[in-house]
Amino acid sequence: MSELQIGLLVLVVTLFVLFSGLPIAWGLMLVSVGFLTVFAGPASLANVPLVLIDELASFALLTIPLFILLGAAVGTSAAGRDLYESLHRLLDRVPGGLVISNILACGVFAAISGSSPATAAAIGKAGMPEMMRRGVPQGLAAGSICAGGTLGILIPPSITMILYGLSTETSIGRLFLAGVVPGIMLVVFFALYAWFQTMRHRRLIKEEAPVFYTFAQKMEGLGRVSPFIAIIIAIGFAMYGGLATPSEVAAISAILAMALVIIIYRAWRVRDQWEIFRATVRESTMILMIIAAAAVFSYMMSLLYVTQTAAQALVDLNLNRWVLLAAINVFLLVAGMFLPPVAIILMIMPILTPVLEAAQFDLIWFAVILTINLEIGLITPPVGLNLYVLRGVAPQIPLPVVLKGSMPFVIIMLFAIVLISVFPDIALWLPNRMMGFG
Amino acid sequence: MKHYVWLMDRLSIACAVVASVLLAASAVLITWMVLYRAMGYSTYWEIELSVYMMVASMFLASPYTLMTKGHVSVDLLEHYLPFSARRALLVILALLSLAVCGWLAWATFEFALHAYTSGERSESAWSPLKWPLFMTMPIGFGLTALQYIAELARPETPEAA
Amino acid sequence: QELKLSHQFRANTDGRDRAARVFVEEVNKRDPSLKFRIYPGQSLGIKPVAQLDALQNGTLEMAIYPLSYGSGKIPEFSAVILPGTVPSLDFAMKLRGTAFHKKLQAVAHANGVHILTWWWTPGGFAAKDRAIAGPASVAGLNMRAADSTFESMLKAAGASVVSMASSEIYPALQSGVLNAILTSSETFVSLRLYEQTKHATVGGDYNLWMLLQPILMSKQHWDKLTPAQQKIFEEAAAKSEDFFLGLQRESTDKMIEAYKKAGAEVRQMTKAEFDQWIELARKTSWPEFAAKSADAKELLELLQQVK
Ligand code: NA
Ligand code: NA
Repeated sequence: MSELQIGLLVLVVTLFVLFSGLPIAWGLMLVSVGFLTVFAGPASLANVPLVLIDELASFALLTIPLFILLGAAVGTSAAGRDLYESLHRLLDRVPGGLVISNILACGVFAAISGSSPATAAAIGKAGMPEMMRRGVPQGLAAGSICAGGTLGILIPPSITMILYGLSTETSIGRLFLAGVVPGIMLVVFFALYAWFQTMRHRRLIKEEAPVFYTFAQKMEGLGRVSPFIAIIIAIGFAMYGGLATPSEVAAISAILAMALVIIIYRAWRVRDQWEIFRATVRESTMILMIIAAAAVFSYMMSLLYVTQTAAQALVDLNLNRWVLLAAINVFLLVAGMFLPPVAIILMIMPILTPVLEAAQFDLIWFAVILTINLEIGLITPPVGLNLYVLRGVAPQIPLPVVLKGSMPFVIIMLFAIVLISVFPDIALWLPNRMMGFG
Repeated sequence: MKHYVWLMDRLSIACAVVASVLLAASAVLITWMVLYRAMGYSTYWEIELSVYMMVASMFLASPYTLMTKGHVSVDLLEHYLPFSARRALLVILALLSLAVCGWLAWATFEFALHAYTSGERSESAWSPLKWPLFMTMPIGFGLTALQYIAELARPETPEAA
Repeated sequence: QELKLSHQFRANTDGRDRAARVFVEEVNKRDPSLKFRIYPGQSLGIKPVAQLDALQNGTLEMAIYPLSYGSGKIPEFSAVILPGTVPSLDFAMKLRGTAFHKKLQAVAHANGVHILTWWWTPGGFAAKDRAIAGPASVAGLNMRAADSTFESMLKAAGASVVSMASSEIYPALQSGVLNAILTSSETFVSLRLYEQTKHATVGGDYNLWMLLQPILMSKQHWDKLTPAQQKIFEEAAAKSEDFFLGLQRESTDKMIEAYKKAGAEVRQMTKAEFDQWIELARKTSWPEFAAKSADAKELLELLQQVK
């Protein structure tokens, strides 16, 4: 069998195994072990434990459980609700202020959490009941939480950017900076869309007497946001100001967040701590097992020379740069429908990196394009983690309504991809300015 | 079998508690390391120890993750199958997962045992023994396999949301 | 039969990858039936350090392997990075075929690998805020070195040792987590470290940092080759060594050029400074290494006998 035929077989078998409902980690292991045994001989299995543990025993990977811990500390305690409430108080007179404050809260929470489902869960838990109570159309409410939540992986810190950095050997600090402006841009676009929709549905929403807050109440709200701002500043200072590497910043900010919820929200009881930690180890283990399995999977693909042959074939097509980019985007959107972001990066980047380098695309810029594609994947069926998070928070909203409400946000994100492709500086200006050209 | 399920659930929760403590310890250790280094002292073993603790934490939390349905999968097929077939599918999937975890436990145990007998160390300045790190793999996969047996034996599967 | 050759370096630009391609070409000139497949840039999916395991268990035939990476499994391999023991490229090439080389090969064979090529890489210091001279000049700096023997000497000189992945070096220097680094001349250029460090110290005839980064071959696969094939491999290795030596002689010049172009200061280590380091190494790295095993002690003695 030729490499490409083996590759095709891997693709078919992997899709079949994953769609059967086998957990992704075990499914990838099963496929890898099967193909290694058949095409490289049982002796090649001797490296499976080696590849597995070598992938996991990495200081850079430690950032993943630590940023999840940070998100869980804030999301599981009352801190997430407070953040949302205080932003709402500031925006009480803006049309669509309720929806906009949800989106802003997602943006702020994204700046301290590295995970999109964590962002959607934390803000959704507080925001959805409020929006439902005040008559915001279900689709708009659900869409804003689903889409706002996806910002967790674009606005730094970001678990997927870390993995991208490890996989492509690009600077994680640079990647983080590249996500800032596009992240803010998306927040603004989302907010504009919410404002526009609220103006259209004005009559529905203003049924209930609007609540206005006094200046003192607003200031109190601001006071409650300040610890979050402090954490964000601490992260920025530690990472870009010369105190610690990204891995170390993850630990420091997790400890800060723990201190915050223990001191301000008094979550010091064993029960409170267990809620935070059980969520953390559960999500981290899930992700790290997939990472380990994906490493074994890539080893299998590489050993059988499938990855290299496929990449070469794509290069040999000699596509025009922009046609190639469009093809990659379509490919990512399809992959994003079925696979979570982490798995996509680990499986796709080893193939794409040489192609991108051959076509002379900037790897930092591409990280932003990729991340927005992955964000879309989080709200597209059948596998969209944020959709399932929202179903958990607001089970009364039917899935079709959620999907329809999310669709305009998907279109906004596609528009952002086009915009950043045409104006790469949207992504590259900040990292180049802060870290020099490179 | 009821006792086995009860026992495994307790064991998985206990392991998750240990995993939580290990993760918290590594966060504290790294934070301490940054402060200690900022004071001008030399640090060299902290990073490696925190990595060891994280890896142990992740493997120990695996059975609890399974118990709470945290190992994500594409559960589309399940939703489209009639109820009777759904149960059969879940049993087949659990058996397959059991086989994968069982094989991994065995393969990683052999690997860890080899590192134990050869006394292999890390190439760093601290150079800790490698086998305690490697041994977390068979423990994690082994416990996950045992938890799959409990999942198979559990009287009824609650509907997933 | 197909031979896999794995390494962590960039294809077609890094000297080690280029020398590997020269080796393959030279073998194929003599025996076209031997097929090679090069997996550059860690693309095989086996981490740099773990390549040794794969060579030992026979799943991988060849790898370009900085020997210091293997010191956890084979402590004697630190012999090829001991501070100050191999002061120049000429000295390094003089070691070829000596009792030291033979002993090192014997240790490698006992551990399931065969040292195929004699590729040595010189390196140097670079720091952000001050020029590195003798041991006193590193006191209080946060440094990354490549090996534990080096690190113990730096610690004795009063530096802090920070470990991190190579992808983190640049941002770590930028943020100040690191303020000095010791690595190969080639790495200074390929990671663009001259943008972040303004003071470089290169070796010339007084090279403190020198590392053997050969092609290692799995011993079981080496033994499978016919004597004629082994001879072909050795001839090709010699060709690649000439090529590699040329590249390395240029590498320090390229590093100097890159630093000068970036407006940074470059200086040569003086004999007096070098002697101070040696004196410190005699008290720290060397005895620490010799204490590892009888083989280690013998390797150090053989190395010191070469004049
Ligand atoms: Na984030
Ligand atoms: Na999706």
